Amino acid sequence: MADQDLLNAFDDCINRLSAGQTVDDCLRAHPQYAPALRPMLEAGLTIRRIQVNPAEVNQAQARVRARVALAARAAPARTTYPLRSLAALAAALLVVFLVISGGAVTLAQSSLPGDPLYGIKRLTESVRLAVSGNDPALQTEFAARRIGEIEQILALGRAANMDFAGEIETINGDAWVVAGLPLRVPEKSLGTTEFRVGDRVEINAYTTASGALIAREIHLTEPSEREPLPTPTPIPTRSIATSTPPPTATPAPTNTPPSRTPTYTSTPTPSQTPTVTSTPSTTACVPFQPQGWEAYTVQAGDTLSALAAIRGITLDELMDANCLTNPRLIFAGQRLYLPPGPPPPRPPAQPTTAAPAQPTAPIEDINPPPGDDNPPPGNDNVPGDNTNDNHDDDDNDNDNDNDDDDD
Amino acid sequence: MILIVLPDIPAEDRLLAHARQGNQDAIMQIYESYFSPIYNFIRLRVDDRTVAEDLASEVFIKLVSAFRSHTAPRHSLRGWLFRVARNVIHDHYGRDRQLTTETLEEWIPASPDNDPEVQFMRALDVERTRHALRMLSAEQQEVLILRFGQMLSLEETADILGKKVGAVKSLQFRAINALRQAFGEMRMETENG
Repeated sequence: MADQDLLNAFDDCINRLSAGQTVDDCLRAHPQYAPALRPMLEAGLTIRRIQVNPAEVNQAQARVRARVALAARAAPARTTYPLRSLAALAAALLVVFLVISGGAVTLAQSSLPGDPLYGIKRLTESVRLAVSGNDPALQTEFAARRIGEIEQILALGRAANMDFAGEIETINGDAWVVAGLPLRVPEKSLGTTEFRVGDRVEINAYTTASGALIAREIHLTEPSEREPLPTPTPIPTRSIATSTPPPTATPAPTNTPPSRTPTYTSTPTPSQTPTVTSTPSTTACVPFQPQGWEAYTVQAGDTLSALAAIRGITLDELMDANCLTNPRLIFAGQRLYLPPGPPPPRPPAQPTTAAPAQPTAPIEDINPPPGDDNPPPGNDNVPGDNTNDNHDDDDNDNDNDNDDDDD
Repeated sequence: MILIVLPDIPAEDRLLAHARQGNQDAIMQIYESYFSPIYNFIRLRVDDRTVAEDLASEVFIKLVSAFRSHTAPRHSLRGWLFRVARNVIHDHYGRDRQLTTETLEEWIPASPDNDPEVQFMRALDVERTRHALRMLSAEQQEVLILRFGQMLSLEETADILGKKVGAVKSLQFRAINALRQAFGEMRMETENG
C-alpha cells in the first residue's frame, strides 16, 4: 500500500540524512514521493539547528562534573548502606538492644544523616567534646567528619539535611565550593553578609536526590583577612571543581576518621579522574594545551579529520592533545585545542525559511531576548505537557495534505 | 546537538566494560562524551535551566549507581542514557505538574559579534522551531529529537521509547506532519494577528 511505502521512504531519508546525505540525494532515490518528502525533511532539519547555547552546556557540564566525580570516586567498599524499610522493624529492635548494651555507639560511628543511629553519633560527639573541654583538635576532627558524611550522602543520592563548616574556596555566582564540596547558594540563603573566598563559614544545607548540595543558611565564622589558626598542617586542597584553590593556608584536621579514607585525604588512588582534578595523573590522559594552540568550540558540521587537515596536524596529534579515543565522536559545543589557523569550511546552510547562509558562524542559535517580536504562539504554557498530547495523534495519519507549508 | 555520532559500538562497549569494572577514568570519559547530547535532549523539553541541569545530573548519578550496583547495561550505553533521561523528565513532570514558564533570557544568543540582523533572524528561526515543537505530544517531540536531532537509528529510538520499530516508523511520520502543521498554524497566527 502506498502509505506504507511513503512511511518507508521517509524513514530511509532520515537514515540518509543521518549518514550525511542531502535532501536532494534522498529525493533522487524516491522520485515518486519527492513532492511529499521534501517539506517533511526540511521541517525535520530545522530540528537539527536548534541547539542549546554551548556556553550554557559547558557551564552545566562543569558544575555537574563535580557531583558525578564525587559519586564515581566514592569507593564501593566504604559505603554504609541505609537501612531499608523491610529491615526497619528489626533495626529498631536492634537499636533498643544495642543502646542498652552500649554497642550502638560503635555502630553509630559509621551512620549518616538520615540513618536511625545518626543521632547517637552526634550525641556521642557532643559528649566527647564537652568532656575534653572543647578540644580544638577534636573539633576539627568532627568538622572533617561532617564533610566526609556529606560526600557519602551526595554519592548515595540521598536527600538529607546537614550542617558543616569550612572555607570558601571559590565563588562563581551561585556556584560555590566550600571545603571542597560543590555548593549551590541561592540568594535567599545569603542574608546581608558579604562573603569572600577564604572566609570560614558555617553552613546549614540540604542535599537532593540528584546529588546537589544546596545552602539554606550561611554564617561567617572567620573572615579571610584574619590570620589562620596556628595549626601547622595545611589541608591538601581537593580541587573537585575546576576552580583555582584559594591561596590562604587553612587550618586542617590532622587525623582522619577511618570511615572515609579515599575522598577526603589526597591519597593518590590508582585511577584518579583526570578531568576533574588539576593534578596530572600518571595513568590517564589529561588534555593539555600545546604552546601556541588555541581553544576551539566544535561547530555543527565539523569532523576531527577535517579540523586536523585544515590546521596542518595529523588526526593522531589532534586526538592525543585532546584525549580523544574515538575519531568519529565529537559534539557541537565541545571544546578542543587546535593550532591557530583558518576556520574550517562550513557546509551550506539548510535550505529552509529564514535560514541564513552563515559560512563561519556557529549554529549555536538561541532565542532572541524576550520581546514582542516573536509570533504569538497562543499556547506558551503547554511545553511537553502530557495533557496536550493527543491533539494531533492517531487519526490524522498519513494525510499528507499540506505540502504547501513552510517554504 | 550532536553532529557526528556514528555508532562506534566497539569503542563504546570497551569504555562501558572498563566503567563496569569500576574504572573511574572510564566513567568520567563517558560523562564528558555524553553530557552534551543528554543535556541538550533534556533542555529542549525543560525550560528551566537549573531543572535541566539537575535532571542531567540525575541521569549520570544513576549511571554511576548502576555501575556500583552492577546493574549497568552491557551494550547500547546511549540507548540507556536517553531512556533514563526520558524517565527523569517524565518523573519530574509527574511529581511537579506545574510547568515552568518560558525564560527566554536564558537562551542567550551566541556569538554577539555577528551581524545583529542575521543573528536575530537565526534566533527567530530557532525560536519558531522550538515553539512548533512544543505543540507536539511528548512522544512526537522525542521521536523527532532523537531521529533528526540526535541522529539515532530507528532501532535505537524504538528501544528508548519502548516501542516496536514499526510503531516508531508511523510515529515519526505523524510527528513530522504535526510539526509542519504547527509551523503552518504559527504562520497563520502571525499573518492574521
